[in-house]
Amino acid sequence: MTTMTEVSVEQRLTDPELLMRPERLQALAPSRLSAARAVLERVVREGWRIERVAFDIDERSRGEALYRVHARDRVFDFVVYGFEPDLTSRTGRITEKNWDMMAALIEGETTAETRSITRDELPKLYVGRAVPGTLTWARSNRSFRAFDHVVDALADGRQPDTRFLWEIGYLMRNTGLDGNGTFNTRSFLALDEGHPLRDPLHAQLFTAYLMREYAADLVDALAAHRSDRAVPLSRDLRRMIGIGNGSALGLLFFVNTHPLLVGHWMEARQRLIVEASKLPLEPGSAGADRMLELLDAASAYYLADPYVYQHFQEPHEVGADLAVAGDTLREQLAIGSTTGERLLGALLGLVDDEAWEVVAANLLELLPADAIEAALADGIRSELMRSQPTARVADLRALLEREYAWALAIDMDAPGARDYVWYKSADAEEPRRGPAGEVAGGRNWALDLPGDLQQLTAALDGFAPDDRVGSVLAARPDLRGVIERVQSLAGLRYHSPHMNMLDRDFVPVSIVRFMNAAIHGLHRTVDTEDLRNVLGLIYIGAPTIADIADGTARIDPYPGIPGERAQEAQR
Amino acid sequence: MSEQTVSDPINYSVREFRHIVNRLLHAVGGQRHMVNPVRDVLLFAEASGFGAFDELERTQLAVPTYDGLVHERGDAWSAGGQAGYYVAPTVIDQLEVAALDGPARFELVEVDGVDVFAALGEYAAVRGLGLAVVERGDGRVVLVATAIEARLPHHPIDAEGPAMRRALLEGFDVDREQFWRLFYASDQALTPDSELSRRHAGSQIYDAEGNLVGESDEESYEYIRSFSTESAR
Repeated sequence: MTTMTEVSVEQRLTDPELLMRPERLQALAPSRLSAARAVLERVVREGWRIERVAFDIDERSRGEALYRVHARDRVFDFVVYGFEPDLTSRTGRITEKNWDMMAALIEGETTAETRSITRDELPKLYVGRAVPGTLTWARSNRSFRAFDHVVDALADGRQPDTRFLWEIGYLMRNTGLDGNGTFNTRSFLALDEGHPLRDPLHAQLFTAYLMREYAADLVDALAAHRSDRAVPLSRDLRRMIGIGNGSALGLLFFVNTHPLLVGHWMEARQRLIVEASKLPLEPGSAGADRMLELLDAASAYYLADPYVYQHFQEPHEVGADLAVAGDTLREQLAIGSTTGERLLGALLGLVDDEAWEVVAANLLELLPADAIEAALADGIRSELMRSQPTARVADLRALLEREYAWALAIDMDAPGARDYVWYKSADAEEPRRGPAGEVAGGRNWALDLPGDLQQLTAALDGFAPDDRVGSVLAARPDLRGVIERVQSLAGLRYHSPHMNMLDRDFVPVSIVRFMNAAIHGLHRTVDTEDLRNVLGLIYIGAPTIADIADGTARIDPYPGIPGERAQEAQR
Repeated sequence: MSEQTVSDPINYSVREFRHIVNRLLHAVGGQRHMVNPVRDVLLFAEASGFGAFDELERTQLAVPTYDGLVHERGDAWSAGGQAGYYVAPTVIDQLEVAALDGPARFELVEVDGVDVFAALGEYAAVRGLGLAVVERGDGRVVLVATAIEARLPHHPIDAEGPAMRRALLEGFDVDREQFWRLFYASDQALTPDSELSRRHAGSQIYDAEGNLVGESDEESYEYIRSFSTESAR
């Protein structure tokens, strides 16, 4: 339970010392700025047309499918290659090398030749080459329990068990969404201003959306192959299912190597929440009613969460807290006009971090779409770091003391403070973390910000305040990396989690969840016992392409089980 | 986008360049804090027509001896036999400071490979520095720099100059064999796999004696409340 009732709401939303701690970051909820939601909102608002051009998948799941996306004045092809499932070695890890489907999202209309090349290159993965115009490469495997259950039911002429599907949540799980230059895909920096998938991570998450559509089409096709009595998956269930996802330590490396992306995105998110928190919520107004509706739905959604969490807070507690939040807002509105800031203030000390952050994230629902779009557009940055040698040593020292007090205060000589190293295995480059004594000869890929900054601070003692930083750089090239980073990120408040990732007590899933829930926008981000892996769902409850096509698409951040109230689904 | 023509080219992205060179510098023994800065020098140089891969292959055995320092030698500075690309960040920094007081001249001697400096115009421009090579000889280069106004790009792709813009849009072409040679060489920065190492990825299942008996299967759905308390359907 938070005890920070003496902290103002705005301070709690914006003070990096409070916000960038791993235990706080893990609580940040999906929002309209999350990549999955933001791109879906754009798809629906702009009415992108997605057509299934071909679906030539046989009864053993082998073949090709082609989806064509018409977005603004552009066309994209989503080419899918289906494979017969191989039941050996199904772990969902990056090291796994058998997939039920592989796919690519490519700009323009593909040709038989480009699809043939893509089919040959995709399985090569790290030594494959994407054809020009490729935005992403993707891979996924089916959830056998859910998938087979659905195909069996459909082939039998009936719909599958809704509750069973709700609990698993997906038919296929993502095992890789790569873009932004990987395998020679296009860099998001290279996409022009009118490009519909220009924003960082949007092409990857939109690919997951298309992957979900393919999964539903695949169960329909396989059921039809099997039986003349087969029925298609109902539209409600198509909408309910998401795409499964598992993520682990690689996201720590992503955060470390993309401080400008993370920093600008967080800056936009928190700034917009503060802005939204000042909007008046008048009793009976559309904004107040929308907030009440969202809080009630969120409460029911968390209460219906069927997962068991380890390090993260039990969702039923979050759901109960959100009910308190709804009641609190009703009480405030009964008295008169209020604001999100007043609501959040009243909830300090009353609810835990996770529910508080859900309420904060929902305030973004009050903002117009162009505010969200403008914030996203401002987040496109190169991660180039560069030194500023003309700065004075005194300025660099002041910068360190002002922005890195958290890192300078960590005792890196304390027992356990340097116990772990992070590395990438020769086995498919899988990121791993282990006790230093067990990784003899291994390179440590961890970002040791506290250690580096403390070393830099000590080195500055040997220079006069008026000296140029260029003197430090010339004398201590071994500190160049950290100096470039510090100077390049100066003034940006939220670029780096305040963590010592070498510490034996560091909990990696906190940052993995921050990436997956807050930035990517996944739901039900559940951790595993090893504190390294976070599972989750992408696009659960999202409108389907049929919904978009007939104009009935509605984005519901907290979907329920079709045909019953979500709250009743709690076991 | 090396200016040299290659008979069997492969096209690859800026990201892949950063990835390979970063790992390769680690693998051949580059200093941890110099890896990213040196990689960026080579990236800008490659974008401007310099053969970064050739230069890396030529010098890689010497990289562990490099420290990035330059030392005064009378009117000049000595790189002590280090590759030009490795001391370039320090040299450009020194010029940037000196240019505060007007056009600055920098003579660098005992440098292994001076051609890289002719390809660093945009690297310097991003730092608000106009850079020119006025003399170039065997192991010696004379640079002149002036402070210029830093660009304020309209689009993020322009932030690092026209050559980097082109590289981001078109990628680089290089000899296919050389690309894969360096790609695999850079894998030396990875840690060999082992059973102990696999434990560090999590998700392994061990028996009571700590023997690896398998990996957790996503089909087990142990994280679903009803699945962990009810018999499987």
